[in-house]
Amino acid sequence: MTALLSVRDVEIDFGGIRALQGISFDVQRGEICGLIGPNGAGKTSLFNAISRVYPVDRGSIHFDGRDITALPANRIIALGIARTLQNVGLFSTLSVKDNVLLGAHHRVRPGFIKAILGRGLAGTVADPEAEACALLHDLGLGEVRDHLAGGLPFGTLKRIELARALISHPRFLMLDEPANGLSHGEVDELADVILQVRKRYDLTVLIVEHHMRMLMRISDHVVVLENGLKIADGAPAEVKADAKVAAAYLGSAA
Amino acid sequence: MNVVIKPRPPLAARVIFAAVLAVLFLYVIPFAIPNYLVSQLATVLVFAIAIIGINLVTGYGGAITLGHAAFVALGSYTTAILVVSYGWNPYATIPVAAGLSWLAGWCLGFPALRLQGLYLAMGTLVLSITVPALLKRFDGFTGGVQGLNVGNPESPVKWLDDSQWIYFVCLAVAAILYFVAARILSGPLRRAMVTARDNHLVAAVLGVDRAPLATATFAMSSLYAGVAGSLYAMIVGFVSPDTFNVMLSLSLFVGAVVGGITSIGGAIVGAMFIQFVPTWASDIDVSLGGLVFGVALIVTLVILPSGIGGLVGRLYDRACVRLGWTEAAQDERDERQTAGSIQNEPA
Ligand SMILES: Nc1ncnc2c1ncn2[C@@H]1O[C@H](COP(=O)(O)OP(=O)(O)OP(=O)(O)O)[C@@H](O)[C@H]1O
Ligand SMILES: [Mg+2]
Repeated sequence: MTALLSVRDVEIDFGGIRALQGISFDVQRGEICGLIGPNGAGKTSLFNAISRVYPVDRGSIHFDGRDITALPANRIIALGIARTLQNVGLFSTLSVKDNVLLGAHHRVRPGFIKAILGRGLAGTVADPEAEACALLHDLGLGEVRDHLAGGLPFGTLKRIELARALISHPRFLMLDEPANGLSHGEVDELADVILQVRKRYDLTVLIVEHHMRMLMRISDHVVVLENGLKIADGAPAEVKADAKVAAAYLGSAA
Repeated sequence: MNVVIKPRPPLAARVIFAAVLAVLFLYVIPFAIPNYLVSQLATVLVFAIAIIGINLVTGYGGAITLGHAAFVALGSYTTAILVVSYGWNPYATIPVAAGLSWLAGWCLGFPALRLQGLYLAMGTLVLSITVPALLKRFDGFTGGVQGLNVGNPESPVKWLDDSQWIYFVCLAVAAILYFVAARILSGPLRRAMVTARDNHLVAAVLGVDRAPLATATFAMSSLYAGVAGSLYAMIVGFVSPDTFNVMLSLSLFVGAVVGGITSIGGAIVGAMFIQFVPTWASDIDVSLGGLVFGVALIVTLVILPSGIGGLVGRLYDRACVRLGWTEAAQDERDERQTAGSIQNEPA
């Protein structure tokens, strides 16, 4: 069977800054793939390439055997690719629950006629409210469900984004620094949550994280970027032992 | 406080509130105030309909439009031409006006979407500058500068005079369109609109397709303007090109801001404002009439960005909290029963 995600020779240029230079790697079904690298290495750009937010200048991206390199960004989530954003993309004027329900947009497919005529007449899919509540509860967010997202602590927001990604029923989950803003105890807890949701929903995970201990613990496979280049790709233990990786991290004083 | 307040006043309070509204709109306005004010209040309802259209496109669509008078004109002239040249029943022209302005909004919304922010404002402004000229140019159809004499529809009921009758027609249409807007702005469609308005990146990631959503919003908002125009032709009994000038577009926009750009309930307040305040101001001093708009716009944006509707909404929420009329506690209990837990699952 082919890999679930297959990235080949991907390049992204930002008028001179080469954010990604010929990146190739595979993510196998069911695995947790860690993506690390110093600041500015291109990790978020790679996420944006996969979710089609940034145009890819060269190379190809295949998901489940299908070439998605030229798909518009808004078609990606329906394929089963969900992601969270590094600096959080929640809406401060909506409640936590409404923010989570946004993740089900592509399932509910709201429109004017459906909204006006209502469920019975237009055959609308109902909001998965119960599912949202259950997810929030499972992620320890039951208490803030009816709060506005604005003003909650950063770590809480990252979890809300995780819930929003999960309600989209993904097969492939991309997390951009999910442990950012968490305390040490919370980081371990988050690692358990990630392992559990992978198992429960049969997910494949691509995760960017600066928390090395956590990442090495949960990843089956780690890819290392530096200045837009892939410098290592292998099992956590191999990558940890790699001299180039050590140099990259020492060099950037991370 | 960051908790979302879900006000749930007890049944008695809701019944009393509904009764007060009913007495106000069904008795006081049509029967207990001087007759000349009745048709002015019918006009207020018509402005409120057009302003709800602006709430949709600007408040939730995030697009500033200064061209709503163009769609009001389309609705007015549809009614006028069908009544005058083809002898239609005026009420039958309302759905035609609605359909045509929806269609026009859809066609214009399509390119308009590509115009972001200021450019859209400029484009729609140009549209409303052009419309009176166009109406004068095609005078074979529109009656040119002379306009068209539609006549006021006669009251079919003995105990209502003509202005009371048209008031009730406007009230019925406004009520329907208010509830339609309330449905549009609830649930998943509202969330999608907020997403598309506030964060394009997240909208894309969540699969919200902004282009068709924005086109549909623009079209729906034009429909509101068109229906308003159709009713306006019946109230005034006469349409002429210069009614639908840039000033009308601007005052509708100011009305939307004063009432609260995201508050469809505030539309009625904004409509009262544009109907009465400039006239009162002109009585004091002629130049004050125009000045009032600019001042109101700036004052609202600076001290009350969510408008009067937003302010009333906040006060209402606060009152409900003080009175214990919220439903959050109830929900918390339900949730514990429905939720399973990942944490408890065997690893
Ligand atoms: N939209 C953009 N326009 C211009 N340059 C960009 C853009 N996005 C990213 N870059 C540049 O591309 C490079 C890689 O950035 P990227 O955000 O992918 O790094 P990262 O690995 O996610 O870093 P961090 O750990 O700080 O999140 C950086 O030099 C950044 O300045
Ligand atoms: Mg990043």
